[in-house]
Order: sequence, then structure tokens, then C-alpha cells
Amino acid sequence: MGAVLAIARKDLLLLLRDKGGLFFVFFFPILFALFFGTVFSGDEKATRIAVLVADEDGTDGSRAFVESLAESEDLRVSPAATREAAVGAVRAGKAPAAVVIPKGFGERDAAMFGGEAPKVDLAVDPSRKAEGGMLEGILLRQAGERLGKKFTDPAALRRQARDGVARVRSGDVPAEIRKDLEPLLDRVSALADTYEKRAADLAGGGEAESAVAGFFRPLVVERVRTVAAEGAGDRPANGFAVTFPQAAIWGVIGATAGFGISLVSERTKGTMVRLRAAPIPGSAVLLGKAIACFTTVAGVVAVLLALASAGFGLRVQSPALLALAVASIGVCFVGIMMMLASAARTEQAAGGMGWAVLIVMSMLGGGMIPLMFMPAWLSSIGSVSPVKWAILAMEGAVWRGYTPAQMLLPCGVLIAVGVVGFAVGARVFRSAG
Amino acid sequence: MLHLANISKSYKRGALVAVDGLTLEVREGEVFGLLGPNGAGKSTTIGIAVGLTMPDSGTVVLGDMGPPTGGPARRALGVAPQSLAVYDELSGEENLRFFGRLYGLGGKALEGRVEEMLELSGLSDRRGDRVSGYSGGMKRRLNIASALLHNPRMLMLDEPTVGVDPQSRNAIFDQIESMRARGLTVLYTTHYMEEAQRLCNRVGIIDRGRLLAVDTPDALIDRYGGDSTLTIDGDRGQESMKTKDPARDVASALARGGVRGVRIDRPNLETVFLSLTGRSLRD
Repeated sequence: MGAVLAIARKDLLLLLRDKGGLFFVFFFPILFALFFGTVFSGDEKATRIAVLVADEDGTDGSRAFVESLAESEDLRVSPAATREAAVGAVRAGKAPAAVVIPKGFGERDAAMFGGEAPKVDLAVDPSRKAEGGMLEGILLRQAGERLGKKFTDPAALRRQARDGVARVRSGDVPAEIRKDLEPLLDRVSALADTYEKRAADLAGGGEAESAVAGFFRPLVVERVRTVAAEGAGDRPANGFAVTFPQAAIWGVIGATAGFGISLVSERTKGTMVRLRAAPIPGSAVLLGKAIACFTTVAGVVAVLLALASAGFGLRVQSPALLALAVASIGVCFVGIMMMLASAARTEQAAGGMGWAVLIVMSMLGGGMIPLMFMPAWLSSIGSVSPVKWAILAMEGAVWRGYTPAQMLLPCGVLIAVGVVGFAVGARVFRSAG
Repeated sequence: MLHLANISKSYKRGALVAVDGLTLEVREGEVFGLLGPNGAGKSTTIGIAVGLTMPDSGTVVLGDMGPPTGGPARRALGVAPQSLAVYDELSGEENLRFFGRLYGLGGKALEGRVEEMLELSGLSDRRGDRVSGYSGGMKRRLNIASALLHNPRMLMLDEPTVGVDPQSRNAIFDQIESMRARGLTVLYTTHYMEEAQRLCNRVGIIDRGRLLAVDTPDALIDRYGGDSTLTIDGDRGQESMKTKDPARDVASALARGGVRGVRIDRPNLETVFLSLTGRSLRD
């Protein structure tokens, strides 16, 4: 065991002396985490969808609609003087989206019964399709909320009913429909009276309003907490909780490539001859290298997450599960290191092949772009990459609130990959003499 | 001490024969030289002798310790490979400590041996410097010192002076002569006949995997080297002749008079190799 530890110690010392290697294992991931963490965690307003709004209608109804948009937590609304200015800014790529409220909006908005639906024009930058979809949803939600309010405001309700009756009587509404619609609008007017009476009976009018509000809400969406972090809501505490585990993977990749190359280098430079000639089992050489690689992989993950906890608000939900995740990641990437080193004959081949394989793994597994931003097909392909399982294991322990049973899948995949990789690599080394 | 019996080793499914039926014995306390050109099979023979390369056939026994793959035999062997088997980013001292630990050395025993080896290799004043800053000769000396650290009974030196400047080469020769004086058994491969002639008690001539002749350098020269060449520069110009007894012929020439100078070219291991193979060592 003394020889194994001597080999591991020697390899760690060599890593510490290699400034380039050290940069990619420790400092590059920290820079990565800080940069992207700052981008994702920065000013909350900056993360809202920016939208230009041109109000061509200029009525109370259109102004109220613009106000409701401005109050939305998801939007950053800026006024545009004209339709041309708003749409032109989107065409020029200066704004992701523009909403134009055309003339007649207020009139249509006021005519709940019998009129045409209010309409807005939406312009979206073609490269921002996702935001476009989100924006449509937000506009419909705002319209729905406004409709709900109209139904729970007795004065507005009575006015809508009165105007509706007038429109029905003056328009080309078929007789059989008018026959059914007029009594309905009368009942709506009566409902407004009942609201007012009930509000007067109760000390707080708000209670009466809230009692009936539910009748006019087409859909209630309540977010279910999907993370266990106290106070974290339904998402990680901040962007750093996503970017630090992701960046740790870059350190792990740097360590894996570095140790793989160093193992090949032992063969090409002749030190392997001296190691194999020593009175130690052949497995001790590989085991020593594996311990050094494991220590570095675990070290880089621990250092990054400790840094994130100390300075960037990361709260680790389960230190025990995190230890399990880190150990599993260590086993996995030691195995990958062994396989890469056994497949290459020269340091250049090991370096080229190692980085190529590991970067593809990282791309597919969410090491470059978070999995949540990937298209579904790419995300499902990513399951073949150990990087995906490594990130999932870390996030599971840090903020996803995984139970030990839920950790079994990612940790099991990582350990299986590691064991197979180590076995294949060791076998190739033995047969190569 | 080391017995290789009828060893054969080939690669590429027999297409490349590295060692072909080689039998030799290295005696306790001698420096045995394997002399042959590049590709003759010297390094393969060393690899087989230390148990790192498995022969296709034949046996290897290291004294009373059995085959070289066993623990006792490995502890008794020191290996200095042809490539510089040291870590550039560690200091000379750190390299020695690391290799010492592989042989179970530790504590004061290890520190004492490290000190001795640094002294022996003339690296005491550069002990803390990284090996990447050493000259080629210093690295070679450290390579040998690393093999001697655990006080082996037998040392395998595979081309220890390749790529070394003359001054460092002399330092390595001194290192080896001091080992010989202490009675260490050494198997030394080289393609420099001067080294073999200067350092080795016995020399084996190897070519294309076959051991062609084994004896002391003088005996090999006597047997295979042919006559000396005597060149006399006199009144009648320069004359060259082959002679078995150059001293007698020089005396005769001097007695005749008119001699301004003489030169005797004795045969050496180069001529032995030429005589045995029909080729030069450097071909």
C-alpha cells in the first residue's frame, strides 16, 4: 500500500507543478462558474422579457391593458411612439418583441357580450422563438385576469350587461339567439346587484368579491415546489447553484485528460519500465494513478462547491448525498481516464482523443449548455453521457432535494461506467505488457 | 548470477525476430557488456532479464532467487532503462525518494541512501532543482543513481551513455568503475566498442538477436581481431604492414635505420565485430 500511496502522491505533486494543467483543473472551472453564474443570477429585471409597446388606440381600455403588462413580473415594458418604431426595432434586432395595440382595442375590450374580441399585434425576433411563445402566453394570461376582474366588479358588470343588451337589440342578431341572450344579460345585471348587496352586508367588500372570483377564472395555475431548498421556491437559489456543478465538470474533465496523458507519458518516457521493474504488483501502478485521479476529481468538485457555498449563496441540501455523488463521479472519471489512456499510444494521441471524447460528452451531457435549455431530442441523447448523470447527481444532492433512492440511478450509472472503464483499461494495459 | 538459457523472442507473429536462441551467463561481481548495433536485440535481452518482457521460449534464472518476476529477484535488481526514466517536474532528490519508496525504503535509511546517491552521481548541489533544468548527462547520472538506490545485487544498464557529452560520459564511466570496484554485478548494453573495452570484464557480441561470441575483450580481440597494422614513416616514404608481433617488427625497423616515426593500429572490438558479421558496428 505504501508504494500505491507513493505513486498517488507523486502524481498529485506532478499535477501541482504543472501550471497549465492546474489552470484547467481548478481555475478555468472557477472562472466559468463565476462568469455564467453572474449572467444567470444578475439583475432580476434583466432576465425579464424586454418588450416594446405601441398604443395606437389611446383609450382607457388600452391604457389599462398596457399598465397590466407593465405590472407583470415576467416583462420589461418600454413604450414605443409608433407601430413602425416598435416593429422596426424588432426587425433591426434591437428588441426581442413588440406589442402593438391597434385602434379599436378599447371599444372591443369594453364590449364583452356580443362584440368582437379585443386584438393586439405581436412582432417577435425570429431568433427568439422561445420568448415569442412565452410572450403569447403572458398576453393571454393578462387578458384573462382583466376579464376576471370585469366579472367581479359590479359596476363594470352592470355596464357590460347594459351595453350588451343595447348591442343585441340594435344589431343583426338572429331572433332565436336574441330571445335567449336578453334574459341572460338581465340575469348578469341582477348578479351585479347581488354583489353590491352582499358587499354591503359584509363588513369587507373584498370577501364578497373573492367568494365569486373563482367562477370567472378559466384556469388557476399553482406552482408545485420541485426543490427541497428552504426558501428556494421552485428553482435553485441562484444561477451559481447551476453553474458551479456544471463548471466542476470542466475541472473533472481537465483532471481526467491530464491523468490519462500522464499515464501514456509513463509508457513513452520509460518511467513505466522502472515502475514495473519494482517489487510491487502491476496493479499498484494503476491503482496509484487511479487514487491520484480520484483525489483530484473529488477535490475539484469539493473546492468548487465549497467556494459556491462560502461566497455565492449555494446551500447544500444533503452533504452525505453530495459525498456519494462526488465519490461516484470520481469512480466514473477514473474509469474513463483508464480507458482513454489504454487506447492511446502517444501523449499527443491521448490528448487529442481525450479532449475530443470528453468535450463531446460535455456537450451532450449539459456541461456546456444547461440541460434545461437543450431541445428535447438532444437532452434525451445526453443520457448516454456520464456528464449528464454527474451533473444530475450533484444537483440532486445540492438543490433538487433527491432522496437516497432517487440518487441511486445517477450514482449507479456513474459507478457502472467507472468500473467498466477501469476493468477494460486495466486489461488493455496488462495485455500490452 | 544471471543465467539466460536458449532465449527466443519475436514480434509481429514471428516476422521480427528480436532474440534468437540466446544463452549467456553473467557472473557474480563482473561487468558484462552486450555489444551490438542498434536493433541487435540488446534492450529486448535486458527486458527479458529483468522480467518485463516474456520470452517465447527459454529460461531466465537470477542466482538463487529464481525467475526475475519474483519479489526477491526484483529487489535484487536495479534497472536503468535506455530512455530517461525520471520525472522532469520533480527534483533529483524527489525522484530518488519516490523510487526508494517503491522498494520499501523509508525514514532514515531512505534519506541516507538518497544522500549517498546524490553524492555518487555528483548532483548534491543540484538536489533541489527540477530535473527539467538538468543537462542530458546529469539526467543520465540520476537515471543510474535511481537504479542503485535500493542497493541491488545486480544492475542492468541499457545504453547509459546515449546522447551524453564527453565530460558527462566520463563521469558515468567513473560511476560504473566505482560499482565494479565494489563488486556489483552489472549487465551493460552498448553499441560503443570503446566503452565495452574500457569497462567490461567480459563482452558478448550480439547481432540480429544472436550471441556470436563471449569472452574478455582481449581474448575476443586475440581470437577474432586479426593482426595489428604497423605503419612506418621512413626515408622511403610511408609503409604499412600486417603483423602478429608489432614490437618485434618495430625493433627490426629501428635496427635498419632511417625511421622517422611509427604507428601501431591494434585490432579492437570494432574489428572483432567486423570479423564476426562482415559489417561495422555503426552500419
